[in-house]
Amino acid sequence: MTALPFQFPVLALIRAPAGGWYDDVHDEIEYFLGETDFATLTPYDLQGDYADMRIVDVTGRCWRITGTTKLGVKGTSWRKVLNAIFRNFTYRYDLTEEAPMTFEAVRDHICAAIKADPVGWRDDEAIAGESGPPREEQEMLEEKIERCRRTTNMHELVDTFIHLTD
Amino acid sequence: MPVAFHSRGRADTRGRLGPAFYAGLNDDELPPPGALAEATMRGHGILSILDPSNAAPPDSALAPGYLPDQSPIAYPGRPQMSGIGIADEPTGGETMAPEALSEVPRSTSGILSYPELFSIAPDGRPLQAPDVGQKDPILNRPSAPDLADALPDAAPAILSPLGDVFFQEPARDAGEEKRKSSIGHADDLESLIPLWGAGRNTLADLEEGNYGSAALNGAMFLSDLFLVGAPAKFIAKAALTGARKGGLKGAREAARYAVMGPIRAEKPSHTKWKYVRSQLGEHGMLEKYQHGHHWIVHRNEGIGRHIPDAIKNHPLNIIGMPKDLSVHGRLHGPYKGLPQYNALQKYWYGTPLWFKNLKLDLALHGSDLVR
Repeated sequence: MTALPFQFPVLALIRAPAGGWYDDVHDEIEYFLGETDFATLTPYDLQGDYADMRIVDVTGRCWRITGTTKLGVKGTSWRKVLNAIFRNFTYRYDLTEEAPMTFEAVRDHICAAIKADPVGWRDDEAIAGESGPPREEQEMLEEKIERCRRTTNMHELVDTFIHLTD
Repeated sequence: MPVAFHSRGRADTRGRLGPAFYAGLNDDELPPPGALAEATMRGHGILSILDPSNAAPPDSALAPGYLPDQSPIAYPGRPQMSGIGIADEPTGGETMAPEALSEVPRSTSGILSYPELFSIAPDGRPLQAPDVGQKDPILNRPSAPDLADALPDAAPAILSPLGDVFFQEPARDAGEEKRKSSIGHADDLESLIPLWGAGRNTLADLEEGNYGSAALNGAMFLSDLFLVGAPAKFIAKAALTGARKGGLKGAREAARYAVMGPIRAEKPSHTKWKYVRSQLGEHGMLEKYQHGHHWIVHRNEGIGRHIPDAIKNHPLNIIGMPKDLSVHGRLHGPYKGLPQYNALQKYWYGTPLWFKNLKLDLALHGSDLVR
């Protein structure tokens, strides 16, 4: 695997196809903490969300994935065995750099994606009152958006986003 | 040349058949007293052996108490026995003493049986029983009609060249004897195999006419069917949803996700609830607005806070809740003025059907093992 040009953690802005709960293409956001995390995919991932993905690193540089090459199963000893069983293959990405995104643009994109997908961002257990009084779904959604809006830089935004997915 | 008799008692008052036995005709081939005693102890036999000349065998060949005529043989401490059979010649053939039938007494155990004797050749080949009306070659009179009726169907005849005495296992009474199914019952361990054990036992019971047992095994079969069917349906549903998106590969990956869940995920983000929830929706395991409840390991409560996301967010730990949000809420505590569920309600609403069925299935199989 050649060295990747970006600094981790990175966010992936994905135009996900319709399927499951979604009748149309929609915005998904993922994050990757390191190279292994980023380069390991299942064939199923490639057929779905990862087909149209933009990478934004903490500096705001942006790349679009234009192709992938399967490198096989990587890892040492038992990890390699597990990856083979789980069909977690390592891929090399063909990246094309695009115009950088500003922090505000990334933040707005994330906020819009959360707002547009209340079903995907729903915290069932919190709404039911698992660890406290029952919460309102809309109230929780707005709280998530607000937490993103309060961030002031990419590092903070990525950290906040990771916590929101818990 | 010894001749063996195959004797079989007629059905007694309880409908049982007496045992068969073989005995040599010569003095030294007669059944030892112990053997006769055994037959008697089993409570089936009234029997005796007479030699062709109708002479009593030497006392040494029979137990004390043997009476050298056709009167009942008495063994001390044993039920009374009566002799009626006779062979016409050492090499085979058969004949009866019909008048003796009327003299057969009830034994002390209350068994009324008529021993039918017919000879078999030394090579073990059973000879035909006398037909009704056939003349007795020795007594020169017709054989008893009821004798022919009572003769057993081709009983196995085994005779050693030395004329050893063999006892056949006591035949079971026609009413008591269990019909053996062609399928056969599963043994203890085999019966624990879901579907197979209970299914086989059900068919065997039905074939044998044990309808009560068949009902129990049938219930176990249905329970097994549901137990195996629930995860199969779960996986199949995911596979079908995956197939719509990605064909065969999509189906395979979706089925894998149903089994492995986020445990297989190499990416930390894929173990998080946000991603898992989307996956559950994508694979048809949760409806769009359906709540998912972490039923074994809670997500943010108790020990669940210390369990890795990959485990507590596994699809098996997620149960889809009814549309009524209060059901999920009341599992955790009071919800919008409604009280928290009690333990029984939590069990009913907060565990998947397959889990409840698993417990029922284990109870049924446990009771079957005990039975």
